[in-house]
Order: sequence, then C-alpha cells, then structure tokens
Amino acid sequence: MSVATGLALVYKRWASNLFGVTMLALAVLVTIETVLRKLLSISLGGVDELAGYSIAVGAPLCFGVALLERAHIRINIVYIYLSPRVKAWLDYLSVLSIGLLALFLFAFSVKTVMETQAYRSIAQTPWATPLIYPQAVWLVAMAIFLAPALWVQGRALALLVRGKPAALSAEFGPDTPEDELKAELDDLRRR
Amino acid sequence: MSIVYLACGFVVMLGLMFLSLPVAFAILFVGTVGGLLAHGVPLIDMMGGVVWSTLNNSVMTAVPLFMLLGELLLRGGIADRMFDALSVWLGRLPGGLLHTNIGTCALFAATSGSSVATAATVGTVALPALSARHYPVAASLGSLAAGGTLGILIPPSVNLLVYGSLANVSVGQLFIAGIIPGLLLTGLFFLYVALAHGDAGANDLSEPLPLAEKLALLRHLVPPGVIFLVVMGSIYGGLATPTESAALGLVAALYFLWRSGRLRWALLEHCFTQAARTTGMVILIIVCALLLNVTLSMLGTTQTVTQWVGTLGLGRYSLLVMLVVFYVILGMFMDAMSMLVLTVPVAVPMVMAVGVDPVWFGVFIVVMCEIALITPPVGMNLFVVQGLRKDGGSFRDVIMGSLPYVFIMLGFTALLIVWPEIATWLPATASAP
Repeated sequence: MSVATGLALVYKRWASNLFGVTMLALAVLVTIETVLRKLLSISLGGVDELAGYSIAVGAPLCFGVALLERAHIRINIVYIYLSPRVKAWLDYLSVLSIGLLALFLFAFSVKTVMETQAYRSIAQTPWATPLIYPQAVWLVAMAIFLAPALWVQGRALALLVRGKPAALSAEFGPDTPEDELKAELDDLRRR
Repeated sequence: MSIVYLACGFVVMLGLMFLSLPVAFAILFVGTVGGLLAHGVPLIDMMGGVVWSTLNNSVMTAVPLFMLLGELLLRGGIADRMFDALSVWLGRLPGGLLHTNIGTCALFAATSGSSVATAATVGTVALPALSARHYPVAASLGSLAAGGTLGILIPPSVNLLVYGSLANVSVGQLFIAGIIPGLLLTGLFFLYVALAHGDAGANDLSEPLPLAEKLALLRHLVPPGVIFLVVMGSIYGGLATPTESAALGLVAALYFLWRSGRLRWALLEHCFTQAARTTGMVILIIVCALLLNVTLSMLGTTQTVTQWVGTLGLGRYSLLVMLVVFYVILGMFMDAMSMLVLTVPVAVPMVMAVGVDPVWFGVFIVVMCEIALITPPVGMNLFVVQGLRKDGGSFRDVIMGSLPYVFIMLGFTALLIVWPEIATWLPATASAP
C-alpha cells in the first residue's frame, strides 16, 4: 500500500468515526430529550442547538470522506463515449473544481468567523453561546475538508503532467453504478 | 431579470453537469457567477452567512441520522431476513415470488433510503430463488428494478428531505404525504404482477411451510416494522420533528442490533464510513443549491417565473403535463438527486403560480425521480439489477421487464394530478407542524 493510499484510509477512518460517534451520541441525547419532554414535560434545553453545531462541524468531515470515496455525484452519460485523453482532462477538471469549491467554502468560513469575532455575535438561543466557539471548530473542520481537496488536486495534476491519463481516470474517474454495486455485493458477502 | 437569462443559467448548469463536472460545483458555479454578474461582490459576501446557517441547522441533522439508521438496518442484517419472511406469505399469491420482490423492496424502502442498496440486497437473495423456480427472466428483473424505486417515495426518504430543504417545505408534512402514494404505488405494482404474471411460479413445487413456521418467520419483520412505526408514528402524532424521529429510530435500531448480538465496533465503523460518504454527497449539494437560491432570490426569480407562467396562459393541468414530459426526458439522462436539485428552485415557484400545493409537488417530483431510476439509458436501478445477473443475459431484458412499471408510474402520476388528495389528505389530518 502506498503512503498516499494509507493516508487516505486513515483520513476516512478517523473522519467517519468522529462523525459517526458524534451522531450516535446526539441521537441518544435527542431521544432522552424527546422522551423527557413528552412524558414528563422536562426539557434538557439546548439539544437543538447542539444538533445544529454537530452537523455544522460533522458535514465538512463528510465532504472529505465523500471526496476520497469518489461519491460526489458526476453525470457520466457523455463522459463514457470520450477518448481516454479527454476523460483524463475532465477528471482533472472535476478534481480541480472540488478543490475550488473547498477553497470557496473555507474562504466563506474564515469571513464568517472574522465577522463573528468583530461583532462578538452570540447565538439567539437560551444558552446564548458566543458563536466564536462553535464556529472556530467549524473552521477547523472546513480546513480538514480543504486539506484532502488540495492534496488530490495536486496528485491529479502530477498524473496529468506526467502523461498518465489512464492512471488519472482510474484514480479520479466517476464512480459508476457497477462500482457501487460491487461494493454492495462485497459487503453482502461479508455479512 | 428576464426568463431568457434564467434559461441561459439553467443551460450552463446542465452543460457543466453533462461535462461530468461534480453536480455540486455546477450549481455553485452558476450561483456565484450569476450573482457576481448581477449584483457584484456584495452578493458573494452574503453567501458566507448562508453556509453557516445552512449547516448549523438541526433540521439538516436529520440527513445523517436517517443515513446512519438505514446503514445499521442494512449492514446489521435486519433487512436481509425480510425476503425469507415475506416469501412464505406472499409467495402463494398469483405471481408468486414476484410479489415478494415488490413487498420486500417496499418494506426495505421504509427503513433504507438507498435504491442501490435495496435492489442489491433484495436481488442477491431473490434472483437465485427466482431462477431455481423458473420464473420469467424479464418479469423477475423488472420487479426488482421497479420495487427498488419505492425507497425514495416511502418515508423516511432522503429525496423528500432534500426537496423540503430546497423548497422550504415542512419535512414532517412531506414524509406524511409520501405514505399513501407509496402504499398505493406498491399496491398497483402488486396488481400488475397478479394480472400480467399470475401464472409465474406455477411450477413451484416446493412444499408450503406449516403455519407455525410461517408465523415464526414473522419475527424478522418486527424490527423494521417497529422502527417504521416509531419514526412515522412520532412525526404523524406531532410527538417529534423529523430529526427527533430519526434519533428515536436510530436508538431503536441500536437496541435491535444489540438484542441480536450483532452490535460490534467493526459493523459500526463500516456504517459510519458509508453514512459519512452519502451524507457528504447530499449535504454538499444542498449547501450549493441553497447558495444558488441566494442568487435566484436576489434576482427575483420567483416573480419572473410567476409572470412568465402567467403570460403562457397555462392552467394547472397543462403545466403539470408539460412537467411530466420534461421530467421523463430529463430523467433518461440524469440521476434522481441531480434532477431534483437542478429543477426545484425554478419548478416550485412555477407550479405555485398556478395554485399547486408545494407538499403535493414534493411527492410528484419524487415519483418523477422514481421513473428516472428505471428509464434508459441512465437508469441507476437498471444497471444494478443487470449487474446482479449471473446468466449473462441481455440488458434489454431488464429494460423490457421494467417498462410496464414506467407506464404504471405514469398512470399513477395522472391519478395524483386528478386527485391531489392522494398526497394532501393525510398531512391535513396529522398533528405534525
């Protein structure tokens, strides 16, 4: 296994586990809050706010996992009829576009955090949380998405410059229904 | 802004998508470039706040929770055993195991949002059984491909959730609205199997199981049934929001997995990765689509579209028939999720201009997405079912087997248009906000 593949696996594993454990913990908390609220009219308060922060921080981690799993939807109806060279260019453009998108989202996040800091904004909730705390973590999560987005961009560019269209498409081409089915069948065999 | 500019933006977005650039990027590109051209940098400045408010939203949390719920049910094996349980009950009807395909897919759909996972899991169990009992090939494949589409209509449905986020419509109301159409469509599929393939499975000489064993097999339907009731019952009764109902369902799924001794860290890790993968894909598209909405609303799209529809002099029926034709054609070349995000921002103001209920339209558009899943050349479920075959037969079998279901869905759409109450009656009786 190459260092690159190893790093991608570590990233996917840690990002997914962090996201998954957070979601399970949130589910338990939301369940307790819902049951207490409906049966005993007791509210823990702030669970809704926590749910919002959890997905704000968890989503960028998932963007990175989806990128490394080639899960961001691409429509390949024209693509499949193109020559390997054109396919490789489109695969590079696709990777580049996700890199730009990640950069764009990161820039938006930086701007939002700077405004929050400047205005000392607080959440309009009973907790009145200073927004800088959740948004700082959100910014870190956006940076965690940006890192692989830039890294795969560099890797795809290197393959393009070195004249390896087949390798580029194999690594960064769209995920086909056949790929998805194969993954499902592999999983079924494991069960 | 004129309708011509709007159409240009739509065509550019479609072009970028057909160039196989990521759908999320195509949407964001048109949104930001359109915004820059129309209002300059100030509009782009507004978008930062939209990213935060879109993500920091407890409603959005429902997406990963439902994804994780579906993954746990699927990979924890809870859903796998449904086919066995249903086959002993439905297998004796005219049409035999073909009903089981539809029934299992429908039940599976009620707990999982993925049509690939549904068709792959049910197909892997069903195809060898169907082949061993000499069921007609095209009919078997068609029932699996079409049954697999029910997943995106019967709630909890990720497609309805995405529609709700984009069109600013209550997800709880949408889920409730999906129940009757989902059941009715399942019923129509059953009816078709009984009428067209009533003699299928007539050569099945296997001995029927004793009643006690048949009843015992029903236990496999308890976990998915309970989870569906917890999720939908809590929404319908106004006891929980969609996010809370997803959390309740997830906790119930964890309990059933723990009871069956399958709750292991390795399973959880695998589910986390799969859920993160699909959550990332879906939420990135929603974020980009809502950023596009900023540009569209600043450009006064709703007004432009409303005025344009007014000048055409179209009524409710003629506009909806035009949309059916448009969606069927678009669905031949696009996957369901892309079709949804591409069209909702413009289609919703268009139909609301002629008095269509946005909750009803959510159900309508998801039925259009279902058709897209089984119309060639790009019909996701067709590829999946073909990929499951071991006999090396032609792709044409799957297309021909699925074609009648396309017509059933079109007929069902006509019913939905003539009697919108099919979708709007149940939400009106519910306590959900």
